[in-house]
Amino acid sequence: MNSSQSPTTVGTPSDRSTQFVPVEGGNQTASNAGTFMAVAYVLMWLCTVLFVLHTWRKTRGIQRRIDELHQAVSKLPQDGG
Amino acid sequence: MTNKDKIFYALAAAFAAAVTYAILIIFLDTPTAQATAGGLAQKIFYFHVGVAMGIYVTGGACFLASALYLVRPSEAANAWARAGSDCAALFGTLVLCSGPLWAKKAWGVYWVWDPQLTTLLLSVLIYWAICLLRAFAGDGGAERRFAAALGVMGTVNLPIIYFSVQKWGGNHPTVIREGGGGLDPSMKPAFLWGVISMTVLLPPLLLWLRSRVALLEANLERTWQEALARGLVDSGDDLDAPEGLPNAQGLR
Repeated sequence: MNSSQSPTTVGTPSDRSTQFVPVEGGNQTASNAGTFMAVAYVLMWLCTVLFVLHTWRKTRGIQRRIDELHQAVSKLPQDGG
Repeated sequence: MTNKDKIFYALAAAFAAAVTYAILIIFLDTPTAQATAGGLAQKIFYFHVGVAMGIYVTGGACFLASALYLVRPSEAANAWARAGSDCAALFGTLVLCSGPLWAKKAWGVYWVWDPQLTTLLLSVLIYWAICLLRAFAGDGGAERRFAAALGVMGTVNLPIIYFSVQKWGGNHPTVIREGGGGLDPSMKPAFLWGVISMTVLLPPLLLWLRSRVALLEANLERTWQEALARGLVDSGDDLDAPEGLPNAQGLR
């Protein structure tokens, strides 16, 4: 299999995509390209949202524990320990 | 609300507006590219490039903070180094999620061992290794130094990713780089807003959120030590100790 038969084996810089140009009716002729695009967008945003949610929950959890500790310490007599 | 909080919420609002506008123009106002570029799947490009450049921003933050930590260890430097590696791992994962799906339509396969893809994978693996090291090896001085050294070494690989496509060729498109033909003018606004949202606005937001976690963990450890020093025994029964520290019940 050589480079003229399959785009997967293209090896030289000149064979690569070097520009993007619009085409007429691209949305209609794209076959399952829309599915790949939708999956990519869903995956990207899902990862980002999960990362933010995880960080947010962790922040709240740590903050709550700090507040609990401060509260517990404040209940101790000043000369405690 | 502190000034820092105000800046954070302003950035978050700007990001939400930018990303909404980017999505609207990508799908409503930007034409589909030629089939050899993936056709409709080429619209992945507008965020794919933004998050790819986000690796350079977050990796750069990881590099600077890690180098600073190695020279002059501090909680802040460690927090930012940790945030940098966490965020770089996320951005790398986003690139590795989106790129192969676009490649499947443009090249016919999900993955090729192209120099740029391979060097990117190597960098992402390094950032994931730092995250796993910090998650499972504890948070002692030696672990922090090792993670910081990895953070410096991992970022040294980032310029290699960028230049690999020029030096060694491969399949990866060179549309917006030296030697590329560029984007059609009708595609430039979508690209610009994708970069503004994912490279300019999202990295600082995530770095801020993640560094706050690390700083709060350090604060929790200090508070716990203070509580133990003051003999927090009776009232600490329902509190779990931070990782690596004795629990209050254990002192009874």
